[in-house]
Amino acid sequence: VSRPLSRNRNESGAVEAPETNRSGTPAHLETPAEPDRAPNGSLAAALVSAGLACAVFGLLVMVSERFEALGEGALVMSEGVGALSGKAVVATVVYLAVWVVLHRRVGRRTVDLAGWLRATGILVAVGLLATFPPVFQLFASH
Amino acid sequence: MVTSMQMYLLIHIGLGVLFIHAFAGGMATLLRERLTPLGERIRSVSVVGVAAVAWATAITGTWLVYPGYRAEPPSGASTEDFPKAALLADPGTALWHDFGMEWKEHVAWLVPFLATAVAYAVVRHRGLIARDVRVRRGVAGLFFVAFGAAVVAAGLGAVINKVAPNDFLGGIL
Repeated sequence: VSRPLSRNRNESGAVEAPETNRSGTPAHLETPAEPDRAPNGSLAAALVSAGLACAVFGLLVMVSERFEALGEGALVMSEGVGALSGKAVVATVVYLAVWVVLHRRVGRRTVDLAGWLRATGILVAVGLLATFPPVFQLFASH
Repeated sequence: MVTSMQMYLLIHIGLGVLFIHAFAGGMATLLRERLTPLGERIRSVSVVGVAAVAWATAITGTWLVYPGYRAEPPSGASTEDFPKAALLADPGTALWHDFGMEWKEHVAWLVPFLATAVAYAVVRHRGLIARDVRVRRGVAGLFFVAFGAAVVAAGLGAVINKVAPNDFLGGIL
């Protein structure tokens, strides 16, 4: 069974001098800065789930334009509000569900945030495009 | 005497005004690398405020104000009290529904999702935002997109309220 190396002891068991900075202060005695590889997965989960909610909302707008069964049926959760009620509720439920799932999967990990930020940007762009009338009205069935 | 519809609209507009003010505090502090403790507090309060107000504005707009806008007039009745019907009855104003209201009602719902993500990032990952310029710019970018979407929605709402014959509002706008 391998044991983790103790502080300042190399693989051969010899004790090494503690690492110091230029002023001679041992590194482990300095004011601890937040480590560069601190877990950032929960941030990635929050950002991507918001982006996904935007994209899902946009796709619901396009799909409800295309299929009357959705736009005038399944998505109508309130007669007064119409299909907007279903689009808002479904996107919000998806948002919260995806956030919880992603948070559980990557929340304690350190991930490549650049990739997650890029994915968020793409998903938000999809949402913005799909909610622009000249775009979603291209899918209108009537 | 204020009718319920007037009250709903005033609440919705009031929330929009709060959103703008909270956004200003959030954006001014989000772009800075280092903040004083007061600045940190202003940033946190602002972005959390933006998120809360974004949800409240979208929900009141959708479930309280929008039904009054899209209500169908009874057959033979005047369209004066029914903004959507009145806009669509005139080809010269139909675009304000087909483009204006359609864009407003949909793009407004992207705002609470984005604002919530930004609020979470600022409150839970303050150190990362201060340390990593890419993260700070990414979060600020989402905040700015949320603001842009809110401005589109609010601006179109204001114009539509002027164009549509909202007689049921009793001339409050």
